[in-house]
Amino acid sequence: MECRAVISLLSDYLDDQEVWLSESDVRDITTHLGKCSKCWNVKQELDEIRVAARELPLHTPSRAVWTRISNIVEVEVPTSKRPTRVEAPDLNRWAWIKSHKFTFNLPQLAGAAAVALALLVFGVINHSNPAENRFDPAGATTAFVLPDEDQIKAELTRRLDAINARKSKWDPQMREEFERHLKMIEDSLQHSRVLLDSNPADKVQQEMVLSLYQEKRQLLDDVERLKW
Amino acid sequence: MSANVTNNTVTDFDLAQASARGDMAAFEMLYDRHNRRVYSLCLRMVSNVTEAEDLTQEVFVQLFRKISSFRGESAFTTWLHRLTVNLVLMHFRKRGVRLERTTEEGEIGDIQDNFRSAGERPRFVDRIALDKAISELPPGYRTVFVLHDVEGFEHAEVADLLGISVGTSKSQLHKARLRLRELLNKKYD
Repeated sequence: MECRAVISLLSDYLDDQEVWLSESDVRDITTHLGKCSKCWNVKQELDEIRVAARELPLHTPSRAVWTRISNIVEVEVPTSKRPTRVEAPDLNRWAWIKSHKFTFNLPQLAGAAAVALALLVFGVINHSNPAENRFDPAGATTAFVLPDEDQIKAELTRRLDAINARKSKWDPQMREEFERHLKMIEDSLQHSRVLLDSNPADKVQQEMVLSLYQEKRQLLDDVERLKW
Repeated sequence: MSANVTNNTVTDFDLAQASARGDMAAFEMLYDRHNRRVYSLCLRMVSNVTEAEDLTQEVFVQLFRKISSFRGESAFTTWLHRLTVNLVLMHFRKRGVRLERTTEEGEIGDIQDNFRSAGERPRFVDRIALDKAISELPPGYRTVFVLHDVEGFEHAEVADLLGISVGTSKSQLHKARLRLRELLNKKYD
């Protein structure tokens, strides 16, 4: 067998020679390599390339790649599965109360409301100093404003207006997910606000309202960070 | 899941299942385990850091979206490997990268000129030089070489992935190796 023919078959010879070459070809090539140092050299170098290719070092992407990936996929995790960012154990109590309220029929609603109010009062007693309870019956229907609440609301309204202005260009699925999450926060906020207005001294509800503002802020942060 | 996870004790399958349930810590652990292999494959196929990082990002985002469909019938690494290759090849198609089509014979070139006597020959392949030489291959040769020699796909698999015949895959691999040999020999000239 000539050098040209041998060299053209060297990859088959090195890889699965039983698969790609006949026994006589393998014999001829082996014989030739035993006599031809040039071809033997080529065979050795191709073999080293083959072996080295399996041992190439791994490269590492920049850390920014993971940041981008996590930003994208975290938004796609359904909110029911998403761990809460803010410690809000009272949110669970609120969710329990809300879900059970809706199961009551009309005649039972007053009783359920009384139970809910009793639980809230109990929570207030457990969490606050009785001396600080300054429930003012005359002010029961006046909206109670938390410290800095006006600035918080103004900031969130401004940011939400900017997002709403460009929302029509979003992917419909993303828009729906954003609106669903926003509605959940705003419904909870509205309800907590009603409870807080009826008892401004309720520190549990004060914390609840502030937590929900923070939740809303986190949602808007996520959208702005992704530059939607 | 998160509370029980330590890096060495939990399987890829368990992490995949946890990720499918929205456990981001589990997904990050999957990323930590496999990102280098994915990135290295992308980088060697496209020879461009920015493109390789973008492709790596796309692989893991797609992985997250499809992870609930991973049933564990194959090894997770095999599944991820195929996903990566498919995305890179799709990227080539979108960019209009033409992979070389050659006959099964092809040309061998003047091999004899690159002779160094066996007795004088130092270790021929420096891995860093090989990595660089791979990046200098034409896209078609590079793709076949990376898939077969670096990533370990069989010719039948390479042919299936690229839509070519087994004979063409073998021919392109041989030419890629010869070309790499030339490039590496120039380094020593």
